Amino acid sequence: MENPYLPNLAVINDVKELTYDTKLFVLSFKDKNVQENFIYKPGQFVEIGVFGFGEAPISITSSPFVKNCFELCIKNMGNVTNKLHRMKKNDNVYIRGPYGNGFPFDEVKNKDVLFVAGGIGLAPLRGLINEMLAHRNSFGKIQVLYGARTPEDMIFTDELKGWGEKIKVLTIVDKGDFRWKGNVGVVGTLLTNIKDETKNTVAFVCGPPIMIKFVIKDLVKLGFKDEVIITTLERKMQCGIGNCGHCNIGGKYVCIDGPVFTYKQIKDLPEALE
Amino acid sequence: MFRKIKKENIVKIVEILMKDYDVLAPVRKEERFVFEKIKKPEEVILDYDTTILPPKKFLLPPIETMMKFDNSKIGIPENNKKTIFFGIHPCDLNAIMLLDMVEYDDYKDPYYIKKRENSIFVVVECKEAGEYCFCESMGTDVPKGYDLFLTDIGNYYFVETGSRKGEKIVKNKLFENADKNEKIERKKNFVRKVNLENLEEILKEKFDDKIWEQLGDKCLICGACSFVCPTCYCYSVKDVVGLTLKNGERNRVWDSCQLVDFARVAGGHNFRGKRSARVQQFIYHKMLYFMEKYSSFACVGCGRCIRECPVDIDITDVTKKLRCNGKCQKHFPSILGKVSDFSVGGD
Repeated sequence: MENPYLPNLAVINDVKELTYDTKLFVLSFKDKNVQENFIYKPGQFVEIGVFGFGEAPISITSSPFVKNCFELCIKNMGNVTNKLHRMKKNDNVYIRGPYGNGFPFDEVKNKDVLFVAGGIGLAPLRGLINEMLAHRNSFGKIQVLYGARTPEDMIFTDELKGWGEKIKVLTIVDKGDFRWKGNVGVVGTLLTNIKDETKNTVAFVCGPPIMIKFVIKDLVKLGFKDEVIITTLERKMQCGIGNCGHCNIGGKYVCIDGPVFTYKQIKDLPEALE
Repeated sequence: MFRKIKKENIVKIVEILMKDYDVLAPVRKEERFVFEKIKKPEEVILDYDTTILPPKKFLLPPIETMMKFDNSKIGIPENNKKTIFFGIHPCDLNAIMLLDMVEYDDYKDPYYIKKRENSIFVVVECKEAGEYCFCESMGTDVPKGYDLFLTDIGNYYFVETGSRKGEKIVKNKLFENADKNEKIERKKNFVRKVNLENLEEILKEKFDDKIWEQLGDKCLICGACSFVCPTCYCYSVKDVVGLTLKNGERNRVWDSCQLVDFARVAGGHNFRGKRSARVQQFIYHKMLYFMEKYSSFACVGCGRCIRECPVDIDITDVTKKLRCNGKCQKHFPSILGKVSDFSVGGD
């Protein structure tokens, strides 16, 4: 019988420092067959583990068109991520997955797309943004609103600049510094720039729980329908496969029924937007 | 075809079964009973009230090794032991049927399933309703999924078979032929009852009721209710490392939604930081959420959570009070005053 808890050996090909507390890990499976069969969608996650330290659920930040490797953007937050931050190129880790449902892609083709990201919430959306840019003709207007706590907390700054040449990208920080000449405030305030038609627009929202809660409220005010507001829920997860019970909310498990939900799906779900 | 076995022959059949199986059965532990792997056939006691822990503990052990690692080599522990649950109560087997729904779901749990498929279940009917039992209300007093079902009929146990495995056992000469009419149907008097009518709708409606704050003030968040529950299956994964730091094992251990850290994520945010929210989770998962996912209540009315609660929180009482529409203000007096005034783990 297949054991879904059995992880596969992967090697760290590269580590890039994105901020003082966030790193980008480029990984590939040791076994070529495993790597070739590792097919994922943006919005899905893996369990990355180091024996002796445990496992952590981390969303995949690369796009499916990237071959032979995949990327995880990891903030140093807990026991496992702290260990990962002390690891280097060529070190081994263990990976299970991909898990979760992932973002809709084909379903939102020919629509305008609005991304609202807060902090490390840009990481799961990055894979989707790059995938959409690779299929640019299949989508209408694409806009990215990105907020971080301070300019130093901003991740993928080079990529934000690159995207800015092709699509509208607006950034904002909660608290600026002497070099920061841009917007200051919460990411929701950038929504005042979205005055165009919202009828054919799908919104992807990802960030800390409090940000998601308020951005959804703002989007509803702007006229977005519940089913076109797509967000992700964060929860404690251990197994990733709907068994350990930690991510249970209502009749759903965030790890298998999510982590991607439409606002319509979670609007009446108790505890969902805590 | 029905069979029966003389009570005095139970010891003999257990002795025979012990040759091929690990026999797990109720045995006495001081004033109470526990399910244990027996060493002598005489230890088995079939006339017993609810065991301290449910027999679930053999299928989902409190600590279970998922894998061992040694210099990056991973080994999965093998378990091919054949076991027989001898004298399990109907409610506890019904609970295992509920666990099956979870463990045989999309991602099949190999540890549970291996043990489950190597198990035989001999159910024994309870002669009377225990003080805390409400299985009749939950419909779990009727055994399901058994291999053999024993009913006390005086000098004999009346034996019904429910599977091929069971049929094989009753071929032994210790079993005699019996007539259908020999079975005794006992009417039991249950003190505790749960009215299931519209319970899901009531729970949905009362999600923000002040009853939950009152329960939260009373609850000591010890988690006893879920640790003794035959349908609770949540766990945490813990790695244990050897002295060389090169080898060790990955274990899963029972966890409880009642404990403060259960929904806390790295970085400190706690999605269920409020005590009342955690008490609510226990009751809602049993009586509503499990129903939404698996079309069944996740409570078999064994009453263990009521018996072990140090502050007498009673799930049957809670469901009753939910129906009393706002006249419940004086219920659930807390023995310690407002416990939430104390700072426990930051909640």
